[in-house]
Amino acid sequence: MTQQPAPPDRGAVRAAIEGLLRTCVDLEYQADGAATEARKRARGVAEALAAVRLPRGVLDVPALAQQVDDLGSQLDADLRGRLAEARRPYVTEIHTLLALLAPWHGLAALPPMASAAPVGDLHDHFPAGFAQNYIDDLLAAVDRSVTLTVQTAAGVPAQPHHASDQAKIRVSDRLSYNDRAEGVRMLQGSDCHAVERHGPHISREAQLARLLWRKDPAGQQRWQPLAAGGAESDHWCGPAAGGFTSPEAMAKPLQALLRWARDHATGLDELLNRHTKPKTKRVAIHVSAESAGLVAGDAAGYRGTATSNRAMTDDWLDAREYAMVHGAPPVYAVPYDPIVEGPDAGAFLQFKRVGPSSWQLVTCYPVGHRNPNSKRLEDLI
Amino acid sequence: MTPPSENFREYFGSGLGLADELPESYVEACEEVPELLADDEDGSYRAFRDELAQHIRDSSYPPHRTADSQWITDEWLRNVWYDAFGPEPPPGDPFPVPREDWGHRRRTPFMLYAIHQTPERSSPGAPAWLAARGLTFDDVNAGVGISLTGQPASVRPAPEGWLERLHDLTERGLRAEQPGER
Repeated sequence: MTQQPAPPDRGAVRAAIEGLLRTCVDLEYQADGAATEARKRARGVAEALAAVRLPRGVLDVPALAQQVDDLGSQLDADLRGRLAEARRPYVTEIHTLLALLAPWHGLAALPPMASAAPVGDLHDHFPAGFAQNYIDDLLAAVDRSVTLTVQTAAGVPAQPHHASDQAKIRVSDRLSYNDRAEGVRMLQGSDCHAVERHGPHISREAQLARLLWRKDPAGQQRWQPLAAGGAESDHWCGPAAGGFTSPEAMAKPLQALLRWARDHATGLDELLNRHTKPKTKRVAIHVSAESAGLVAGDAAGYRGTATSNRAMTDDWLDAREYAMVHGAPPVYAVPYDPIVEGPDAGAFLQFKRVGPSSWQLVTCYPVGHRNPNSKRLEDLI
Repeated sequence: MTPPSENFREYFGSGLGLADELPESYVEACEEVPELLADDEDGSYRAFRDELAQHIRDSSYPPHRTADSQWITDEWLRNVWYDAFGPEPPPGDPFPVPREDWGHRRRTPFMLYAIHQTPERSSPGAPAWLAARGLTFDDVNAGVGISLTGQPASVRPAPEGWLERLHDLTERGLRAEQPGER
């Protein structure tokens, strides 16, 4: 019986594409650096020579200076040519890997590589559409994206219980006097993890460890590095992680909602009851950045690289699962401010029904896109 | 049927549509389905289920982001349908997933988020969920469990004539045209 070759793992393919592309970019930077340096040195020599005054018959200094200058330009061109040679196999490999990924994007086949000048933009080597878009998305973030080893993630401290409790008080203290008791009750609910996952006391590094290695920033859910690399985790995180940067910022959407509930109903429970069916168990609300008064700098987080559509997001999530099991290759994330970058930014809040007519907050976090199925605060009238 | 109704958005937006954002809510929403169907005096949950089937049949659920294709969106909804309502394909699905693929060659969010190596480490509703679909923990773990390497995944590119099909559905008023379909 012949054994079928194991098909490629989607996550491994995705991670390899990013790794190879990053190598190409590194090569380019190194060649750029070397070329600039070589040209600078040649020019320095040429300038020094030009200052030497000798009779033409003894030595033609201007001609020599010109020769040295030309040599500098030649070195530059040589280096770029060699770069193009060096990266050619990588570019070919990236194209092959993108072809393996294409079916997961609903595409039957990937067009062949574009015929581009070997020296030139990486982008031009790939066929238009899926492949070029993927490359562009990865290249756009290549200088800003970061990763974290599992060892570093293991060293990121979890926030102890009392730190979360303190943060809840600090956030509630920023609410108007009338809303403070309700705010504390909301954030302290047994099913609420708004502060535990998105509170202002959580460090940037802890958000990154949550996104890349599914490490619970509150340390409540099991997380264990594996001897062979990778990690086991009971904590889940989607393709982005982040939160509010200050107690004031986190209080903003809560305040907007509580005020709205007072103005349009007798309170939160009544507002939510009125806008849900009796048997609805959960409800999602979008408080726009405008309504909440959220501004640049109020939120910070990370999102997976090249996750601008559903299939690409699934690629990235699979690459993360691959790293969780094998410890490598690393996945990368881009720091971002959802309030600034998103087209329909705000805060996502979810409530859970806990009795026939009472509700408990589950979570509250900043988003760049409104989920199209979330209810807009402004529509709850 | 276009666009999604208020009733659809309320049910979908509170759990089944949130696998990426809030996996816990997604798992809870999947596990609540039998109860919601049994206790459905106003018929609103059945209406939600029927509308999901219609969106899959007519490719009429708009992609969340402009960069998402309708095919990928529909494939996502097929996974949600399986996780919520079981192995019978939605009525009228023009491209049903072969039943034997589920859990063996095709992974769904519920399998990823709720089913782990042992029942103890899995979601409380996982045994009932598996039984209702004729699967076992071993099936899912062997096919799509912790070891993702070498997984013979079922990948379905958009079928031939897909764009023409979308144009036809659009012309018949069953869906709204999405960017990039011309």
